[in-house]
Amino acid sequence: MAQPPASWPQDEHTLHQRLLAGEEAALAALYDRFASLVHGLALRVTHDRAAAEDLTQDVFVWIWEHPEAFDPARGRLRAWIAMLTHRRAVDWVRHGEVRRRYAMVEAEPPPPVPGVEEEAVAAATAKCVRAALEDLPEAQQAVIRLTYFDGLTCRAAAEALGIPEGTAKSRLRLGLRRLADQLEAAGILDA
Amino acid sequence: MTVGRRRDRPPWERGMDDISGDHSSRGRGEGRIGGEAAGDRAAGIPGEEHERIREALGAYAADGCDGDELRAVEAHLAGCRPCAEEAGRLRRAAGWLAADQLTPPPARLRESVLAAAFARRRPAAPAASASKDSASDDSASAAPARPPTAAEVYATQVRELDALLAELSAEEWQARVVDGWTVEDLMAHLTASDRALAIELGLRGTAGAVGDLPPASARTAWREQAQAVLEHVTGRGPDALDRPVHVADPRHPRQPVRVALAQRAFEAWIHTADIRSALGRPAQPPPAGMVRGIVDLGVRLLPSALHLAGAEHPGRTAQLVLDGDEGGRWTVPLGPGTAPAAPAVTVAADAVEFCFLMGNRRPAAVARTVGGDPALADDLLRVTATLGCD
Repeated sequence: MAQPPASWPQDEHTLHQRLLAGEEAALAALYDRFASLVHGLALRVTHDRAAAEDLTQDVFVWIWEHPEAFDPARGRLRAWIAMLTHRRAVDWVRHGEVRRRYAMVEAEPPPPVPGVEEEAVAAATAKCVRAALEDLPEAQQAVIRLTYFDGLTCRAAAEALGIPEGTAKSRLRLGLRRLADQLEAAGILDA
Repeated sequence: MTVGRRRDRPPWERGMDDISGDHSSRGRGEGRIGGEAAGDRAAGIPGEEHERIREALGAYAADGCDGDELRAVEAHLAGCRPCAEEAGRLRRAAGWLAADQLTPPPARLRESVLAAAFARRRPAAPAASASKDSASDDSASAAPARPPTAAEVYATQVRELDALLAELSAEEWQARVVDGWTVEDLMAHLTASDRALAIELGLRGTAGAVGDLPPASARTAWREQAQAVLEHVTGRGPDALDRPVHVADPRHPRQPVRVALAQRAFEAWIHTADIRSALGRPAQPPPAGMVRGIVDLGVRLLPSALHLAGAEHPGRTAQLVLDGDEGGRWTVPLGPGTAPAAPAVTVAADAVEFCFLMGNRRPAAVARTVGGDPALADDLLRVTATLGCD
């Protein structure tokens, strides 16, 4: 049964309860809704198809084993899953073989396609997020891209940009704060 | 291709640590956006430390901290509510950066992920699923037993065809039974069609062509693949059966898995009838639930099939009146546009004969137009005959 986007928070609550109860179909439903998000983000950060698939598997298996780790009071299921995925993806980039760090410059991932699970929100939201990111000063955008999308540490990003680490940190914080302001104003991020 | 690099190992042998490094060092933050705010103890933390950590929150939220710094930030967040709140907010914002990166994984990954998960934590026994069918089938309330599910209908038809194949001689296996096709050809065809569904569900499917196999092996390969599909979709709750997949002609809109199963049952049933008829064996009535499933499939696909055939009639509808145990009345849109109050044409037929018509095994004359525009009925029935397999 397709749920309209407006009912997602309630829907997320139900889904989380079903995961806690160990309902087999709940994991399938979770996967169908978020696999494109998890896989897409993992692919964007790792630029490696096999790694993206492995990370996708690890994220969903981990959630299935630890559904109690999600605290609905602290944000949406979607944000939590994005966080779990991103942490694993950057760990993969940092702990992977060094040559992968260079290979990622060449390997272009396939163009992202909206998945079934987020189709309803994908187009409008993605456009809004992109606009908010592009609205930031170039210098802030650059360090966000290198850390978030390429999985570099803040230190490595600073080196790559030839700026002091403290400056990179400060730009990351200012940039993400402004992004949060914009997404809150657009009603995407819960205030 | 490097995909499946790790999947050679059984899922239960794979740990988290071999991929993502030392997670134990960040155990607390793992499940919490922004860490655990145990209370506002910022006042008790030296101001310089607080300021230093505060400056690093953007880096932390973008997962740009590691080693000692990561541990220091997490330790601080555990005791500083303002920092924990800011970190949580920045993390949630960062989480949206991936909003335009949605990329579906390959279909086969789904099965692998679910299997790996269920090997780690056994799912709870499914709750009583008695309510599953009651909502979808009003007429069932009159019958004491619930109608068979699409999976059960397909399973029955697989058993019937398998039993028929078991009694065929080598000569009969090579006999031409329909449109110049031998039994061997038909089984290769059925196996290939099942395989398409199996692959879409994330299963492996049979390897290679079964047409080259000796009859007994071809029969086993077909049957085992069909059973693997059935095992995959049953016992997983209604979500698994509602998942959209391709049905027959990929130009049709995707349909729920249960409709795809009805289509597989339809095709197996039609070819069973082909073989029986050509080899002089008595016809058998379709198993319970078969006709309803086939008609539902037909009604779902007709609008798209009319479009593909260039035979649409915008804003008009047809009423289908089918007689028999699993008959009923259906309204079929003949093209885009709002449906008018009254159907433009009413077509009546025996429900089983209509199923044969869908398989192009009967002339359009098995149906009769009982009211409305006969030209519309002609288009409807001509396109109905394309809804089968071959």
